[in-house]
Amino acid sequence: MNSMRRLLIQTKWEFRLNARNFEQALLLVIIPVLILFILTNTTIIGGQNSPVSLGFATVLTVSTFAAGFTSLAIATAFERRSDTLVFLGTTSLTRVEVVLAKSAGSFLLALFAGIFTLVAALLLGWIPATSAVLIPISIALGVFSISGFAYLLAGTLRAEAVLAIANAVFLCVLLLGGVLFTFSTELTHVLEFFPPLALKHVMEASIVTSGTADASILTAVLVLLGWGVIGHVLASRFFKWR
Amino acid sequence: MPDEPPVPADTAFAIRCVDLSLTYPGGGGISGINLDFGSGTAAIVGNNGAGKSTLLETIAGLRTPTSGQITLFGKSPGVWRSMGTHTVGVALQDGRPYPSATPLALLKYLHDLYASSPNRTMTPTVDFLVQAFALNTGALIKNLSGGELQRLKCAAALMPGARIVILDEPTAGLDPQGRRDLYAVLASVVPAHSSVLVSTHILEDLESIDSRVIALKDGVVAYDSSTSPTSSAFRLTFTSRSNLDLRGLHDALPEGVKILETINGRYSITSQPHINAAFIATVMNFCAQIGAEVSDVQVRQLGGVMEDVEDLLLGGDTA
Repeated sequence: MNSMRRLLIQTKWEFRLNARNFEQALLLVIIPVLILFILTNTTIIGGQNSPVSLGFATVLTVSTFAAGFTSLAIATAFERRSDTLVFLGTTSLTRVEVVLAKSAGSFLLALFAGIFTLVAALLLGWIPATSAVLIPISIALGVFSISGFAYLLAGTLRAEAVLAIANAVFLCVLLLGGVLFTFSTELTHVLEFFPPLALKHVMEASIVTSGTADASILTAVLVLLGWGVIGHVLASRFFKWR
Repeated sequence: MPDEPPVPADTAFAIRCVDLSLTYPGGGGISGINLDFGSGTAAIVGNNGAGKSTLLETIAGLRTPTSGQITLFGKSPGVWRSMGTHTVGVALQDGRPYPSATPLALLKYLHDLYASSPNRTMTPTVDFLVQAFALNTGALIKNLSGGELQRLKCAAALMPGARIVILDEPTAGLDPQGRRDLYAVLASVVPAHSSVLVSTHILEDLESIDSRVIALKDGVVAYDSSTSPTSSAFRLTFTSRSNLDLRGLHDALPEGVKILETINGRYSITSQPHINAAFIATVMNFCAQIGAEVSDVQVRQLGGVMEDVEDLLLGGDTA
């Protein structure tokens, strides 16, 4: 009982700290909404479905990566540098609770960003299907698939290096991960085994295809779960608290 | 689910270290520490690198000992933590936690966090701590001065209302007035019957702490005022050129005499038996034999914990 209570308080605190940060707002709300606007008013992405819903799925993938990887890695790295993580060790929180609260805080941040983009998508003419209730689950799955790597980065490198690498990875995800641009069929088959495109497929399933689960979506979910396990196992093995 | 069992009332050994060692790959750490702490304050003194932080962080459960045992009220720090019972309030020496938050936000959050703790009746209010430590609540933590940060860390350490309070170098970076003020606040704010461990490398701090004193040197307990008898030693000091070779002097003097060069060209000879005229003559004759001119000769009787500790800590570079 107490553990649950501590977890809730810590998650609230993590979310509050992050949400007040201006860079976060830029990364999580302004950039995705801009991308959504560009995607739906230009012809970067074609396709059979309505451009707004496709764009919305793309942009949710982007903000989930921003919250679950880039923001999380940078915030954790700087907390490690300021000995905030050691300070948390002096509280009644266990290490597992600290990590769970951080991931939960990132999830809330991605959800929060998702609400902004959802409003933007509605304004641009998106008509939600009932499968939209799956969006939070897709975001949670996305955060899980990449947060382990955020911890791995934050717990092993200097804060400045983490800042540079996390932003570079974010850019690579956008440009090369199959999120914004569609590559050749062969390349796409490879990218489907990495979190960005897998997450985009899962998002599309909950937004565009009305939640129809086919084999490729199941594969995408397994890919995300698999990367999540790998990332968290590596992080728990190599993470240094100070 | 019922509340977790409360911390036992028996405070005879709030903290017990049995042959406690923690060594680092690169050297340093602590070895073979045997110490018991009941209620009351204990000051841990020692030079930088003497093992103060290692000892305190091991007691707080932040580091795992290489060997030996640490128990708080009979259980290891890890067991208390897994039970969800907060037994220790800690202010660490390093770090500036949550730099982008305000002290007020941090304390409110910590208060919420500890409100679920079984010893919640002892949890002080945010207002009480803000007033007592005269905290700057509006500024961001990253903009706090050294003194403001130290006071915030102390307030955070008292927030859990834990029976054990550990403060690692709370006066580091403060001016003499700030150090005295902080100890005065701590003395008035820390609940009676708590066990408080406070470390410092500043010997003058001992004048402000009326407590048991433990000196660490090279990771071992070099002095403990509760067990080591206060010496009634005498000390002869004199000035000469630096790096005198005084090894031969040991043979000429009674056993148990300590000779060291405290600073360049200043020598200190400490003896348990009385330093009499014959003793002084022996020293002067020896110096004359090795061609060392001697000036500013003083003899005084040592007294009190502080000089004993000073003696130990300066005793690093035996001439």
